[in-house]
Amino acid sequence: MMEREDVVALSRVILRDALSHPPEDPSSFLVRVTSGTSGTQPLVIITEYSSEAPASAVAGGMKRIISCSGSMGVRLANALIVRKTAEGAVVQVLPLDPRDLLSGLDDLLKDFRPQVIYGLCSYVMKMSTFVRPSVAHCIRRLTFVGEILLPEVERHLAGRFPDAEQDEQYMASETGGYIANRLCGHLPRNHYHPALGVTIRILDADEEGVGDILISKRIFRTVRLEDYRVGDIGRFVPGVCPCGEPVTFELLGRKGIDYVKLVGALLRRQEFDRVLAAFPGLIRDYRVEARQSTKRGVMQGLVTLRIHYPGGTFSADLVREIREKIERNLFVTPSKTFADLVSQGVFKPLIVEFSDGPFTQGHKDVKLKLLASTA
Amino acid sequence: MSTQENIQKLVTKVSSAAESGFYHSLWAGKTDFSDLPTVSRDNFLYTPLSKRRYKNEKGLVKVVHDSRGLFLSEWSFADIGREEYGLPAERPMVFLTDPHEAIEKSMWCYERNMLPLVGEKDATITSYAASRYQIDSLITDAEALVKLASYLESRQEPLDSISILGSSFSPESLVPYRAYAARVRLVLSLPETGSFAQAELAAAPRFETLPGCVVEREETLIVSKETMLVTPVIRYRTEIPASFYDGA
Repeated sequence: MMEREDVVALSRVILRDALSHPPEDPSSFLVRVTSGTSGTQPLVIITEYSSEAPASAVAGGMKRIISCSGSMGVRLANALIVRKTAEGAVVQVLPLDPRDLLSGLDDLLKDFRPQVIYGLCSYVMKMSTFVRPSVAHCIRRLTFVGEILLPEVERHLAGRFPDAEQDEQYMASETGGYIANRLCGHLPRNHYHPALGVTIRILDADEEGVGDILISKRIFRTVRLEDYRVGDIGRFVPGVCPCGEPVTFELLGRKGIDYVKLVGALLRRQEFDRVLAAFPGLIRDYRVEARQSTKRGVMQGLVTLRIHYPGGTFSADLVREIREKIERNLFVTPSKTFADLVSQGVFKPLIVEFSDGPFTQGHKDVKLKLLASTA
Repeated sequence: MSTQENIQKLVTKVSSAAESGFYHSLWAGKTDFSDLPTVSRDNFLYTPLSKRRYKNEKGLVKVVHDSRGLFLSEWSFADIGREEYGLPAERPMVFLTDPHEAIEKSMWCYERNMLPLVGEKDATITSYAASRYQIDSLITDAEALVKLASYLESRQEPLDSISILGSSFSPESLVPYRAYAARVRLVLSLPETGSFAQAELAAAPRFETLPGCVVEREETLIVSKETMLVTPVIRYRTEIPASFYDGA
């Protein structure tokens, strides 16, 4: 079985190989930079196009695609996939940037008349407010990647884009991207069929069949991942899908949920530990609860930090001081702090609460938790 | 056939094109290149892309930001490859302030059979990635280049080339970067026209017009290109002062 450290080591081998033997056809390869989710330094990996999403998974025979990703590498991958569509196929891709979400974008979208929107659901939610109803009816497919699709979001976007089928792709950048999809049209939210060439196994399944997801796939030339523990948990769905695909699995989230992804940001336990270490003696233990609210189509992150401090009471000024210090120092993207995203309206100000009693601990060492969304 | 003659052929083709009447209506019957009125960014701003598309090919659509608003600029992948954004390299990095331009210039690398590293917004992460990928050339702009100063300083060997793209340059502030590459070029380009002139970086750079382009000098530069682009560039009046340009 391979762990994250093995993949990091493998990526170094691949990079060395690619540098000493450059690909003869570069258009089949992509250099990616991922900050990862483990708190380690960024990973520079080279992946082979053939292990990426096939063009049909992005374009699906449609002609105008909007890509909504924060990562430049993913935007470039989308453009490459479009470039690789069959000879004669005419497809245009518009990789939107968050800075484009301005007054006037609605006119541009009306002009472009997109048929597919591909990207993070939090990003799609934001850009959807710029889509006029007449343009919304042009959308035939919404493809989500990178975040668990919550039922409230699925319902909201189904109402916003009534003629669009919804698809999800299960991806992990360190595996070269594409792992699985639910393109067949028979699968509910967070259920997938493995992509061609990908094998899924479930490790140490409990009585409900839930266990660690292990992935095997080719990622570069002859290099393969074998039983890579990607860090997610899931279970197989018994039976053969009506589409004929024998393997279906349900993605249940990150193992241990020691980090939470929402509204395009990443809350990591390691980062909370780092920032809270600045308050020695004050913070004995903590829990973080995150949720997203959706009001008038705008998603916002709500985060509550509960701190265990027996017998203590704090003035409102001190609580505010603690809150502001945490907001200023806590990075939730590779370059932005919580305070940055509060000022952009992505998050509401952090809520800090104190608890007299200790927190209970389940069988898993969990401090961060994603709660159901609120309307 | 000279570039001027090729552009005249393009004018004839565009004036009767069934795909779009964008230029036809602006030219009001004129078909001689020297008589044609100029177009400007205003025409691009206030005419939707769908009304100025002269061909339909696989490609990339960019959002162009202007102080007066946004507009779309579409480029086929093949046309992107015909531009002169960078120089041949084995491991180029594209690091540009405008993310749309960064994706386009990365696709230019692919069209020229190069495997690029596209920089992420964060300069620290980008510098780290540049180091790991052992880049040998850089396509950038003046604002983004400054963010890589520490990385360039830390390199043991200079890069093969740095191509600095933009519509205006402050050569005196860029000259120190000559130490970081065997060759440093300034490339005059706009998102909606592509590249049209280049100069070696110097305190007083002398620009030369790129192949396939015509640069006229009035108060500002007027650019034409012989390629049938999605929106052709024919007598496009830039806001670049002619005094800035030497060697047209």
